[in-house]
Amino acid sequence: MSDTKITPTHYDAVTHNDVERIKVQSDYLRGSIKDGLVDPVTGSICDDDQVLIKFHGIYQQDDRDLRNDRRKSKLEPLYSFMIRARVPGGVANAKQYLVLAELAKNYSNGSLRLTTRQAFQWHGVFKRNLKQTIAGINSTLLDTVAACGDVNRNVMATSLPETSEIHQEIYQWAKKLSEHLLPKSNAFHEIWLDGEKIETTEEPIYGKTYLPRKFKTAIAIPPHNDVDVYANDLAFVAIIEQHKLVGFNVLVGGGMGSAHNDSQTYPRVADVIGFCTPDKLLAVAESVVRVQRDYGNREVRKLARLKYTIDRLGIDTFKSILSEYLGWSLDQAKSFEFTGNGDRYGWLRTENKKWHLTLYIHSGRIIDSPHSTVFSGLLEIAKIHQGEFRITGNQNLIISNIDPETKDHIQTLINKHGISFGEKETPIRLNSVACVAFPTCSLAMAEAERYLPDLISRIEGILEQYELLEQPINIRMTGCPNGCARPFLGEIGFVGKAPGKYNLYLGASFKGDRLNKLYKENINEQQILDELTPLLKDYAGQRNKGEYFGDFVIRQGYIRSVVNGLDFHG
Amino acid sequence: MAGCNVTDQTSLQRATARFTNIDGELLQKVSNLGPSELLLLAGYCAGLAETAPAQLNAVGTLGTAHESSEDSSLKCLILYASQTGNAQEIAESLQQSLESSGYNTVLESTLDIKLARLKDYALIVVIASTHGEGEPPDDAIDFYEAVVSKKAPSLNGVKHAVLGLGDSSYEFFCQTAKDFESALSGLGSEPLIERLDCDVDYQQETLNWITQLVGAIAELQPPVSSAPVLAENIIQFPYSKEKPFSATISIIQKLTAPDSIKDTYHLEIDLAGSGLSYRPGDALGVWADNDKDLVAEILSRLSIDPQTSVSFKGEGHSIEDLLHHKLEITLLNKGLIRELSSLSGSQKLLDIADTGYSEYIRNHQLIDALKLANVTLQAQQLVQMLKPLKPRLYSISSSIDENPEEVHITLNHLEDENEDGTRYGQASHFLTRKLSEGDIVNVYVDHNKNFKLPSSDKAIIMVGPGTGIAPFRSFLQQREAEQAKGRNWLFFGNPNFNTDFLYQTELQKHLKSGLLTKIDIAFSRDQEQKIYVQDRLRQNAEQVWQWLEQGAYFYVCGDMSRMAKEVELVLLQIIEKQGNNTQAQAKDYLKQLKKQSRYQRDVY
Repeated sequence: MSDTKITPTHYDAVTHNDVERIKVQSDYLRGSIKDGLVDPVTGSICDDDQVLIKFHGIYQQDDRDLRNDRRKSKLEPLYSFMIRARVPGGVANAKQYLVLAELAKNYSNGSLRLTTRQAFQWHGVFKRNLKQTIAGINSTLLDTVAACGDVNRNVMATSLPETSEIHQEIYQWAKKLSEHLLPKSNAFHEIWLDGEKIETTEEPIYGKTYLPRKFKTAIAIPPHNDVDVYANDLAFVAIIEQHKLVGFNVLVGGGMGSAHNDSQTYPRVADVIGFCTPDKLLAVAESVVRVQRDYGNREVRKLARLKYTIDRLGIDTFKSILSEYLGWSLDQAKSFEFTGNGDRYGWLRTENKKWHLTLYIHSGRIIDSPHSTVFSGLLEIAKIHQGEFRITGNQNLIISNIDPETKDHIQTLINKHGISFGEKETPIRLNSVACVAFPTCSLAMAEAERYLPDLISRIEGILEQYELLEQPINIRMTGCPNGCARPFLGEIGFVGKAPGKYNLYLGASFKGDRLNKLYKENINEQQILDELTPLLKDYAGQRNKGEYFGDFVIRQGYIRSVVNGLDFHG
Repeated sequence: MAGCNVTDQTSLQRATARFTNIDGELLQKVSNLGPSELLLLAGYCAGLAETAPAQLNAVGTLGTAHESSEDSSLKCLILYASQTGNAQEIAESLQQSLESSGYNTVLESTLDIKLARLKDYALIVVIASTHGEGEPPDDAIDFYEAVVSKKAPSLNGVKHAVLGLGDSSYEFFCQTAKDFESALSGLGSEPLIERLDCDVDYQQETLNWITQLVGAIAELQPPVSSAPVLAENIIQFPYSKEKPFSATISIIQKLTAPDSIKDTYHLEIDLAGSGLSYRPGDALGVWADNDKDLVAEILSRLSIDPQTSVSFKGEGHSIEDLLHHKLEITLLNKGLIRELSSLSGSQKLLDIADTGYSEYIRNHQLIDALKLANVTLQAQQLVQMLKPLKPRLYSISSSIDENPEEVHITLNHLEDENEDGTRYGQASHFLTRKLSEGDIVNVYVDHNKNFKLPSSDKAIIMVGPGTGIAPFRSFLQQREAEQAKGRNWLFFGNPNFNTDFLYQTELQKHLKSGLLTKIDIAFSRDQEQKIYVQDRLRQNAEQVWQWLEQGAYFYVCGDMSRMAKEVELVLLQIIEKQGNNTQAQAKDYLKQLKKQSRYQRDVY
C-alpha cells in the first residue's frame, strides 16, 4: 500500500507546496507572530505568519470597500482580524455568552457572527486589540485554538434538542473529539496568554507538518441533518435505538470547496463506510486523521482535502488502509433517515421540563439594526438566562434549557427587541444561508451576506405569484466557490463569480445528501429571476405531493442528478 | 637655434590659434621662410595693417585692453560659475544689457574659459555660486585651480567685479566668490566695485549691485546708447513673494481616512517653467484668496455695497474685490480690536483686547469682532482698518531631486466652531475646498536657512508629529536621492493609527529599504492613556543619547506651544540623565547643539 502514500509527513522542499514549508519552519505554530504583533508601522502581520495564525483561530482580512481610497491616501489597507472561537457542538453557557458579546462591543465591529460550523466569530478586530480579545475569550474557558488552519476544526453536533439527554451525550462526544484532535503546541499560550515558553514535544497526532489541509468533523442526530454531515471530511451519525445511543455510522470524504472552471476540484458528499460503538469513536477519528496526514496531497494544496485522497485511493483501498491503522475493521453501517437540514424555529419543550427557543438570526449576524436590536436583546437575555446558547449549523441561535420561570421574561425581551424566531419570515428566508463575503473576506468575488436578503425578497415575489410562499426551499449563497455556506448543498445555490454575477446551481436534496449542479453560469440578478420564474411556475403546477424543488428539477429533466463529486462537472 | 624656432612657432600657433582666418597651412608656409624673407614679410604686413585699421579692429583682441587704453571699446568678460542656473541667468541678462548699451562683452562659463585669455579683458565680472560646504560648483573646479596656480597670467591694470550667491546657513558662505576675488586680486587686478555676497534671498541685493556696476562701467566708458539702464529691466528673476508663480495644482489628496478627527491633505503643485527651486527645509508661500461667502457676510453686516469703489495703494478697486484678494479678513490683531472697540464703545471688545485676547482669537475672526462692535463703517474706513493680506507658508514635503519641477505640501484643513458658526483657516480652506486639481494657485519659495539637512554622512533624528512630518518627508526623499549614508530616525505621532498615519505606505517602504533606520510612533488615542512623541522620545532615552553623542542632528517640526516645548524638556532630561549632567550642564549642552546647528526647529 505504501506506493499510494504519495506525500509522507516529512517535509520535501522540492515538491511540497509553500504552506508546508511555513508549517515545518514555524517551530510548532510559533513563527514570528509575537514580533509581528508589536510592529507599530503596520496593522498586518507578515505573510508566513498569516498562515500560522489560522491555527490560532485568526484570519487577517482587510476592508475591501476601502482599499482603493486608502491606497490613494498613502495608507495601507485597513487590516483587521477575524477571530473564530472553537465551540464544540456550538454550545456556550449564558455567562460565556455575556463575555463574548462584551468583547464584540469593545474590540470588534460591535457584532457577533454565528458561523455555519457552529462557531462564534468576531470581525474587524485590530492588531493592537488581538491579545486582549483572545485573552478575554480564553477567560470564559472557550478558546480559538485550531478554529482554522490545517487541523481538525470545530467539531459540530446537532443542536436541535429533540431529547435533552441524547443531546447532552452527543455534545460530550463532540467536546471529547475536539479535545482529542487539538494541536498540543504551547505556542498559543506563549503568544496570547504570555505563558512561559515550554519546549513543545512532537505533536503526537499531527507532527510538525500538521494536516495537508483543513479537516472538518460533525456529528448528527437523525432525523436532523442541521450540521450537514455530508459536507464534512469526517462525520458520525448517531444511531439511537430505544432512546439509547448505540454507536455511530462513520462517514468520510465530504467537502464543498472547489474552484471555478477547474474540473480537478469539486464538491463531494461524504461516503458512509461503516459503524462503530461509542467507545471506538476517538480511535476511529484519530485513525482517519492519521491516514489523511500520511496520504493527503502535500504538493497541490487545492487537491489536499480528504475527499481527493479518497477518490485517488478509491474508497475500498481507503477503507483497508484505515483498518490497517486501526488494527480492526468497522462494522456494517446501520440504517438511518434524515428529514432535512434546516432549523425548526420557535419554542420547544423537552422531557426535562426545560424550554428551548430557536431564533432566526439573519445571516448569523448578531447586530443591532433599526428594526431589530438583537445584539442588545441577547445581552439582556444572557443576564437572566440560566441555561445555554446553542449555535446551529444554519447560523441561527437556540436559547436552550430555559427555566419555566424565566420563559415569559425572555419572551418579553424577545418582543421588546424585535428578535425573530421565525414567525414572520417565509420558509425560503428561514432556510437561506449566506457566507460573510464582502467587505472583509479576502476570497470574495461577489456579495453574499449583504445581498442575499434582497434577492430573497425578489424571489418571494415570484413565489407569491405562484402560491409557493409556504414551500420551504433551501437557498445557499457564497461569494466564492470555497463553500463556507455549503452552496453545493442548496436546492438553489448561488456562487459568486464577479460583483453582481453568480453561477446558479440546482438540484440538491432538501435533506443535504445530494449535491446540486451548475445550471447557468455568470448571470446577474435579472437573469437569475428570469431563469427561476419558469421553473417555479412549472413546480407550482407539476410537483408531486410533498416533492421538494431540488427533486422536482431532476425529475422534470431540468438538471441531471449528481451522485457524487466526480459527476459534479459532467 | 632649432629649439628656439620650435618655441617661437609654438607660441605663434598658440597666439593665433583663436583666429580662424590664419590657418595651419599659412603658418606652416611662414615658418618655412628664411630670416630675410620673414623680415620682408613683417614690413609688408605692418604696411597692410596701417592701411586697413578697421579690419584689424574687427579681429578684436590682438591688442589687449590695458595695452591700448584709448581703444574705444571696453572689453568686458562676464564669467559665471553656476550650480543651479541662477548665476548663469544673472550673467546672461547682464551681458544682454551691456551689449544693448554698446559694450563689447564676452560671456563664458568657468568650464570653458581659457586661463591665458583673462588678460585680454579690461573688466572681468564674476558671478559665482557656492555649493554645499564651500566647494565651488563642479563647472568651476578646474578653473579655480588654474587661477591660483603659477601659470596664471598677470592681471595688472585689469578691473574686476565679483557677485557671490550662497546660503549663510553654511559655514563657508559664498566661499567660491571670496576665493575668486582673492585670486584675481593676487594676480594684480583691482576691484571696480566691492564684492557682494548674496544670501538665499538674493534678488533685491543683486539688483542694487548691478545698478552700481552699470554706473561704474559708465564712468569707465560712457555707453553708446544713452538710454538709462534699469537693473530691474536687466534681469528676469525667479518668482518671489511679490511676484509669485501661477502654478497648477496637480493633486489634492486627502491623507487622513474618512472617520478621522483630522482633515489632512497632500498637495502636489506643478512648477514646470517657473525656474523655481527649493531645498529640503524650505517653505512654500501660498497666496490664497479669501472666501467669497465670508466677504459677502462682512459687507452685508456693515451694510456696504460690494461694488463701492475704494482706493488701496493708489489704485481703485471695488471693496468686494479688495476683500477677496488683497486684505486680511480672517486673522485678528489687537489694534483692530481696540479700534473697533473705541468706534463702537463695546466693553466686550475692550475686555477681549485687555485680557481674553489669545483665547478669543483661537476661534474668532473679523466677522465675529464686527458683530460685537455692531457698527456701520464706510468702505474706505474698513480698508484703512485692515492689514494687507499676507501669504501663508507651508513646509515643503518633497525633494525636487526626487520630483523634478514639482513641489508638495502637507496641510491640515483648519476649522473651528464658535457660538456663531464655523470659522475656517484662510489658506487651508481655499486650497482644499475652493480649488480643484488643475486650478491655478500663486506660489513662491521661501527659503529657510535655519532648517537644513547636514552633510550626507551625518545621522539625523526627526521629531515631526502631525503635519510636522512634512519637511522630514522631504529630508528622506533628498537623502534617498543622494544615497546619503547617514542614519535616519523618525518620531511621528497623530491621534489614531487606522486613520491618521500620514504617508504610512511611503514610510513602510523607507523602512524596508533601510533608508529609515528607525521609526517610533505615538498614536495618542489608540489606548486609554494618551501617548505622544515626547513619551516615545523618553522611552528611547538611552539610544537618543547615543545618537547625539555620535554627532546626530536633532530636528523638530510642528506645534510650538505644546509639542516642541515638551520635546525640548524631554531632550534636556535625556542629556541630563543619560549624560550624567547637571541641569545647567544639560542646558549648556543643548546650547552647543544649537550653535553647531545640530538642534534645528521649524515650529509654529
